[in-house]
Amino acid sequence: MRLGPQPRELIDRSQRVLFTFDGRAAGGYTGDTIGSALYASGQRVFSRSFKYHRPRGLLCCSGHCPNCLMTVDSVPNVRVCVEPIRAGAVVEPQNVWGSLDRDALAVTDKIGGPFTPVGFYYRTMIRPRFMWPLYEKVLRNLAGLGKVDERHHGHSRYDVEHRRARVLVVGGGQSGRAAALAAATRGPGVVLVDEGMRLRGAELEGVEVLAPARALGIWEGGLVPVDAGGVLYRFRAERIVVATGALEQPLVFPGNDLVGVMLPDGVRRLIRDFAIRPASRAVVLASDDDALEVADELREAGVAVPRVVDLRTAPLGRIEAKGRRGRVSAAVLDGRAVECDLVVASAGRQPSYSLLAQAGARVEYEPSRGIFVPAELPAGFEALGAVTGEGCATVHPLRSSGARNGDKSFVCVCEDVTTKDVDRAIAEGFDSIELSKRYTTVTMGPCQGKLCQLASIRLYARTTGVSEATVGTTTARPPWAPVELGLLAGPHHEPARRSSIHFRHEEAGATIQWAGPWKRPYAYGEHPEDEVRAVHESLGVIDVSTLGKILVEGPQAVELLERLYPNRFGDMKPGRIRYGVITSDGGRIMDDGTIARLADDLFYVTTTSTGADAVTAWFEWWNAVWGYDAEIVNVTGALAAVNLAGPRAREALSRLVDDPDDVAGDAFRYLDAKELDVAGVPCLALRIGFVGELGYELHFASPAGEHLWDRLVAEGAWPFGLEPQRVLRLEKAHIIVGQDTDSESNLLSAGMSWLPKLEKDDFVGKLAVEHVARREEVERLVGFTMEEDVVPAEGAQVVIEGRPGGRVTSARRSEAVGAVIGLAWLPPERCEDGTRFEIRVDRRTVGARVRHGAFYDASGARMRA
Amino acid sequence: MTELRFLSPSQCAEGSTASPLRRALDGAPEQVRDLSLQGVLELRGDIARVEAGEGEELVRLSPRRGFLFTPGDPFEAVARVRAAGVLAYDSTGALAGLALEGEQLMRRLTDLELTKLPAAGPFARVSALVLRDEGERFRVYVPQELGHDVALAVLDALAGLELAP
Amino acid sequence: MKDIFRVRRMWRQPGELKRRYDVVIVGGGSHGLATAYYLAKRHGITDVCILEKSYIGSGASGRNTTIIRANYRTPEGAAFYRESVALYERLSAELDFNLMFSQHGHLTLAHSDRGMVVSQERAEVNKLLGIKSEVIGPARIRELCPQLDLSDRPAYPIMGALYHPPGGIIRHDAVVWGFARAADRLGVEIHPYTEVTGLERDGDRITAVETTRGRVEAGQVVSATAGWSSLVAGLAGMRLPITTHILQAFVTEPVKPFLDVVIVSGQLHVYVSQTDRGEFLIGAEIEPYTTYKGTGTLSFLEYSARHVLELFPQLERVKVLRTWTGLCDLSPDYSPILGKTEIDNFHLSAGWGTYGFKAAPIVGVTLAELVATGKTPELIAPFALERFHTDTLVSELAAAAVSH
Ligand SMILES: Cc1cc2nc3c(=O)[nH]c(=O)nc-3n(C[C@H](O)[C@H](O)[C@H](O)COP(=O)(O)OP(=O)(O)OC[C@H]3O[C@@H](n4cnc5c(N)ncnc54)[C@H](O)[C@@H]3O)c2cc1C
Ligand code: FES
Repeated sequence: MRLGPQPRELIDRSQRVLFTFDGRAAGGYTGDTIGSALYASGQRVFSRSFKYHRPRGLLCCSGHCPNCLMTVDSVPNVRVCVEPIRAGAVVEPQNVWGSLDRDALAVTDKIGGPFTPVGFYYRTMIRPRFMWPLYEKVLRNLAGLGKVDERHHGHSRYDVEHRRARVLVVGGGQSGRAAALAAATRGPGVVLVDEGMRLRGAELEGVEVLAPARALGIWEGGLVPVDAGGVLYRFRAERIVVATGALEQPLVFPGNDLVGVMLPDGVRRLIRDFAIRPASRAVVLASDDDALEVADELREAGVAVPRVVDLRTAPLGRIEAKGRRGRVSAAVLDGRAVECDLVVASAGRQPSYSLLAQAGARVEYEPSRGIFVPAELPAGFEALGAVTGEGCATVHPLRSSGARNGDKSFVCVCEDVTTKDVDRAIAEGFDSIELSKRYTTVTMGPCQGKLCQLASIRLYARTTGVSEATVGTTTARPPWAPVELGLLAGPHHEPARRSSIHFRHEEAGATIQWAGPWKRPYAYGEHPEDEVRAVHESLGVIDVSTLGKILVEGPQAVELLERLYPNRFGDMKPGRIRYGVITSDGGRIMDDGTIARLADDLFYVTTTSTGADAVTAWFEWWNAVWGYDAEIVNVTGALAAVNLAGPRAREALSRLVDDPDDVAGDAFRYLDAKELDVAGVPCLALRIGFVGELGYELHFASPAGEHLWDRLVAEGAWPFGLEPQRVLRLEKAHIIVGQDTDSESNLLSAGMSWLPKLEKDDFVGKLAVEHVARREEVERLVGFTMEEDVVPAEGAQVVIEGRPGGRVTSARRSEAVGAVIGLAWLPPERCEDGTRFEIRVDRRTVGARVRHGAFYDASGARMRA
Repeated sequence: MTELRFLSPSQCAEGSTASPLRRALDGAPEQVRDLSLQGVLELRGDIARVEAGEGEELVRLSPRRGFLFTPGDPFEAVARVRAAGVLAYDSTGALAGLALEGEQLMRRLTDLELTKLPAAGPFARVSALVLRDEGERFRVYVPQELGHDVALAVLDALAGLELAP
Repeated sequence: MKDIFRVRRMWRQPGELKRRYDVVIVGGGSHGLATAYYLAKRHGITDVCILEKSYIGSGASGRNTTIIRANYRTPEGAAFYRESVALYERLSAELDFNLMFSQHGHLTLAHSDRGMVVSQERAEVNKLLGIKSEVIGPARIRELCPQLDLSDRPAYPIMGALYHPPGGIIRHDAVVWGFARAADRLGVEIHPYTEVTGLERDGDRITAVETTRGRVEAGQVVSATAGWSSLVAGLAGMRLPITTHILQAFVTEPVKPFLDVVIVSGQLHVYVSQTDRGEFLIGAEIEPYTTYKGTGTLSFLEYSARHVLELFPQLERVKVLRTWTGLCDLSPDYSPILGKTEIDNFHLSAGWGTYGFKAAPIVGVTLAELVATGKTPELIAPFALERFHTDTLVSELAAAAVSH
């Protein structure tokens, strides 16, 4: 089936390549595409259409149209006309019910014509309602093209490379190549990208050629991603030259989708690139000189060409292609039939301006040439060659006058939309191109309108009697060509934050979970309550390196903090610690933590584990607004931190410090901050009691994390995880911001009315606090104990007269308290100590009683010990 | 007045500190070297007043922010810089550092312009400080808590390049 | 059946604007059209016009990812959306137009125990209000969606999910067209390509509306302009606590049925469904910056692709076909701003963020009732603009942020 050697053929006849197609052996040569090999071996039907399952054959042969979509090595929707041949590839047709030649669903085409007018689905299958899921199931199975291989658990390799170029030329046609070469004479940094096969391995002096590779679009800041197979190049260029050329446009006539109706360039590729004789008798319907040349090339290839029509000079009102079993058998031109097995037809070329439009160029209609051209390019862009409209023109693509019943002239081959569908949409009132597009789905198929946008606009203009310029185009939406999710995704990395002690937890067999951006130990064993008990009875240690840690230093550090927090700090002595809550301007609780004064002008602030970045940004923002002389330094990662807690904490610590007197009761009181060397590691030690027992938070240089941890464990401290910590803090009724509060919670209703110092001149959120104090209270956060030994879900509803009346935010069983305890938001009138209320648990309600204060060690004697 | 000793790994007892990358880089090829634990200071204030000493490198991110890389004891460098009236913090423990070789490897990991370094920006999906040494040699500093994953991403990118033709 | 083949106009050709209408609705999206429909249908008020600056459905209504669900976090929100879902379920029949409401269930994944708690909380609220909603573990997830990667391999392993059986997706254009056709048939005038450029105010009333096609007097005015709400309210001299952002989405090439349920992951900031056409419909989080410019970003595509593959690694070779953006009008508490304003005859439907499409029918019903009776229906009382003065916000933050 191959012709003799062609001067510029891409195939290497010495190298046969074998693959399988539809279960049979198939073959071609190195340099072939799967499509060209199949065509050369006589295959003509390549796919079945989306809706009517009509047989379809090669049309554009350039990777745009939907006609050659197949499944290759279980990847669906591969355009085989541009897919390089691979030894052993498994190629299968898709969207066929039966075989390519006999598709059972082709009946939709026969009887479907009248049954599936545009908008059909909107008008049917409405009643009875219970039938819809069934109907839908059928519909879903009919839709879709290829099939995703569910067993494929991919993780193929995809890479991303960030590139810079002085000049990036998109499109390797004549003008693109010339531009690239010219740019290269002025220096390095010139890159040329082309999606075709022709330039593969091509050498242009001083130019880096990427082919086949596709510029997918022009995004933010001139970013041009280029799909080069397994690598996505993200180009930023000083100058972008768009030379994407023009696209041949199909003619619209009855039978225009028959197998054997092709665009001239496609035919040319078969002959030139792959040395294939495309047919035995061809009719050529040309609208430009290029297409006329194809007639000559066909003759040279030994194809009889009984009829060539130049549509510019010999306009044909009606063209019709007749077929047998879906394949062209004759062309009927103004009533006269010409037998043939190939109809080469085009309406001319339309500039492919999409990239430019995305970059911000305006697009205008030029009535004299029947094309849309880009106008007013944004700065930094240049357009060259056919994309500017140079050498482009189209004749009116509609050649279906004198329509007969049963005519099917496809405007959009991807979506199986005919001229009748568009006419009908307009008649129904879908009388703007955008509405009509959505109703008919024209331009929404795999080629994204490359082959149908122009025709649909012109059809639309003709039917509604307005000009093409008024109709306008629909928005150009990236990407330029479909791109694999995997390539966009790039390498499979999701960076997690880990404390410098993290691997010790893994080694100890802890269950690791996400906590905000961190990976943290949930618990070390199956029984978190054992870890709780260890803290209460002896000694525990938890890695709290994830706490946000911020140094605030400078002559005005005090002023800054006084204004950021509702609390007071001016009266704090160096070496003391205070609990603080940050609220938004709206008085909403944002974060909490401790603030230690290390010196007159130096504070050490801790935040929640998820809050470090947000709080740092918040501080910096306000500091910039107010212009204080204070520096804010986020030292979260610089420091590891552990909380050593339990009745034995002092004793253990005293064995690790140089002078045990440093940690004696009066030397290191509750809420003191102190610098201490522990096991040879300089620490900032904070005596605080989040978990309710005597405790020391040690903050120290991250690299010493494992060392200090090991020493503490060796001293008998039990590692405890997040879950036991939650129980411990709940026993103290300490809240967790973001769990017990939500984005609307304020200080007063969260039970912290003691905290804001309203006598201060100003602080962020002061107005809101004052306002809340004045208005009627809506809800309040209180502690409760359950009447039965059941743990309500966090989020369980408080039921008042059968309706949601509040919610539980935390609940745990506490061995130490001997009850199930929790925190809940309740209406203010139900917040008295001891008030009974009901919580929904599973399908019933269970009684609970409000309990004020801490559940455990209410006086705080243990943590102050 | 505190000297913020607790920020300084160099003040910790001999043998008590370890690099955040040592697990990830165990057996790594030589294009990748671990620079963590080499001294670096975060600077705040009038950076113009800081004088870089022998073997030190001053990186300005803005007129009031920068880093000072020092081969000496960073704790002492902090005292020296503070004496010059600029606030300094030992960030040696905050950063994981990597020495890398190869422009293409870098391009697989960052979109920073490699001719305009040092600069701060994304590297392997985290924020980083990237510096260029002679030829195609680079240094990358990322938050230590993300270092492990970044190092794995670097090794993966290297593997990708070896696969590439 | 015959109606299927007869070519019949969906709506009348728009004529000249009248001098005055009892009710002028600004915005021809799902909310404006629904309001007009229910005004005519339930209250017999037909002297109504809809002024739309572009074509109907050109705003967020024609760009959204069509997730319909009722499993909200606050009792106020959940009760409101529950009614909307109930209306949607009957709407195809009522409008005699198949909206292709596909209720295959909605799964909000949790990848951390915090995520589990948030799910739990929603489930508890929902159950009490009679909304089908429950927290399920990996085994049940596997039954409902065997395609999900439930192994430990993903960076964010799946711990559980909030399962909402009635959740699903719908054909957004069909909703717009269905309401438009029904409203038109009841006498409402729809005027596309008619932009409102001014609101004439006389004290506490709007007297007339300036448009690009002239001035019309109005008895009452409803603004249902979503992303443009603050601009339109601005025409009346009112400031709204709303910022406008873009939200992006994309579809892939169609493939055979693979995924029936809607999958949402708050932590990964993505959601995925597969339409009846076979395309995967994928969206992410709202962009943090404010803008009216509808250009998308590559980073969105990269980010979403990466996170979708965390959930469904099998899809790595499926190709992205088309991306787009739409405007979202975000309120501070992620709840809508609905009903009366300080101007007596000016009513609002705004603050819809990324989640307003599911509310269209109930907005129509309640706003129509408000316009017709002058009284705020109880269902929407919590969403009054006044709440920003009384400081009684309705925090959907935990639920709405990335859940549509
Ligand atoms: C990408 C995306 C995904 C989404 N996904 C979901 C989802 O899954 N589920 C969900 O429930 N919601 C979702 N939403 C939100 C939802 O789409 C909107 O909240 C909802 O459609 C709002 O409907 P509307 O009718 O109020 O507004 P719109 O449809 O935006 O209509 C407003 C109309 O007002 C017109 N207009 C504006 N100014 C003027 C003027 N001056 N004069 C005349 N006309 C004017 C506009 O042209 C527009 O047509 C999503 C939104 C986006 C952008
Ligand atoms: S021909 Fe491809 S979308 Fe219409």
